[in-house]
Amino acid sequence: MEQILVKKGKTVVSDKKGARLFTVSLGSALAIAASDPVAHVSGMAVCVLPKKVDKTSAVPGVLEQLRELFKEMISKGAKPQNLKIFLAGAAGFLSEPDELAIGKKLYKAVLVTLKKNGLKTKGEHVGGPLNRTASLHVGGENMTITMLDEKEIQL
Amino acid sequence: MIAVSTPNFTLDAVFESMADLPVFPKVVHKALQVLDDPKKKISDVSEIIKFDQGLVANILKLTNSAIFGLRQQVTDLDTALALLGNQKIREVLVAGAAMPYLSRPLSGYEMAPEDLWLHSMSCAVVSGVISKRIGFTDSSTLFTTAILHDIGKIVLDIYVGPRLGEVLMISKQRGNSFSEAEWSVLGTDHAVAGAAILTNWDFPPDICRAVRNHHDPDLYIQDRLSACLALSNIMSIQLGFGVGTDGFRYHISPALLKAAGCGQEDYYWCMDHAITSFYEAEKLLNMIMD
Repeated sequence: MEQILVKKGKTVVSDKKGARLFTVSLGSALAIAASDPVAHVSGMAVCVLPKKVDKTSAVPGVLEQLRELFKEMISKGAKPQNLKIFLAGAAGFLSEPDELAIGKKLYKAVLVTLKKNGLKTKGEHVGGPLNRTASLHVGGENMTITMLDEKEIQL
Repeated sequence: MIAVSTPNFTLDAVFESMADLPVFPKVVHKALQVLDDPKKKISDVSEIIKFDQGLVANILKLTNSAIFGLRQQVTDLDTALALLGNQKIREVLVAGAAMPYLSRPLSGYEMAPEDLWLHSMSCAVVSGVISKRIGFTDSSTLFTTAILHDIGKIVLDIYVGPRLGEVLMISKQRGNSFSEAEWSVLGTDHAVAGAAILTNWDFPPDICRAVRNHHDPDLYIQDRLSACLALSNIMSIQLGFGVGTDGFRYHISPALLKAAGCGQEDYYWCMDHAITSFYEAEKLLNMIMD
């Protein structure tokens, strides 16, 4: 099985049969995974910053990454009405000031962008003091989440 | 009500464990003193450390890594030191000497051999990004502090392991930080143990103090080095690099950014620039696995 790592700040779309997209140790980063089981196309964006910091920045903001994710998926045959969308990550400390609560800001930015585009999530595992690893089989209908000391979770 | 047995050891037991820990290389302290002396030359540093072959090998590995940014591969110590310059030599010396301590598995904290090393280097790298952005002048001291901030975990690991369930239960049910839960169960925490180790190793008081403070929201806002270390550690955890079971189980002071002299836009800028640097730092993993 081909394993495709999606690094932080990156977006990957695949239609390869039998492949699996995965991201490790998300921290406060937020993974947005989408899958069209009919077209057998899946993608994952791992967002780190709500907005691009400046023009020279190598790390895109949520809006740029979601645009890239869905544009690439549609170009490979995915249809918006078939999409199963999952969110994982956005961990936060037990208590943290708003200015450092980057996970919460990422989550909010992603939800706003999805809502504006008429998209809903099928499953979410976000927030809390949990460092997550997430994966999705290309064309699959579930996202798998693993954490230290916790059972594997299927969304 | 959570049933917790009385802490079954005190700092004395930690001090006993420290006796088994190899001493931080004296040659590194001597070399750092030479670097502080304007009358001495870089070749004097080489004279001090050249006989410690393990240290020299680590220094060359680090010097050739992307972290330290040399454009050419170097194979001998003199050339490496000449190319690095005073500040980078300090950082390479500390990182090279710390590598053997930080590249061991910490099963008590559920950290693989690479996790503590990666987290320590990541924290050091982000500390460099922060220093650059906010103009923190003593960036080498912050780098050293960041590399060594979790050194206490290597001693506490054997005590945490058997009682990790208790520590986590207290943290979850009481909303206590992992450090507070460590205190409840073990009678100390890894920050205090780390500061004691560094004091034992003759590190300067400001470094020991910052390591002691790095998880205490009331203490780390009292001085800028402690605040910058706490912020570097927090950002490293937020970026998910080398996160152990204690990872996000801490409370963050609302006054942290102000104490570090870092604004909201600075924080975002540092997160942005830290990511690229982190992926370069990841290459160091291969070195310790060689």
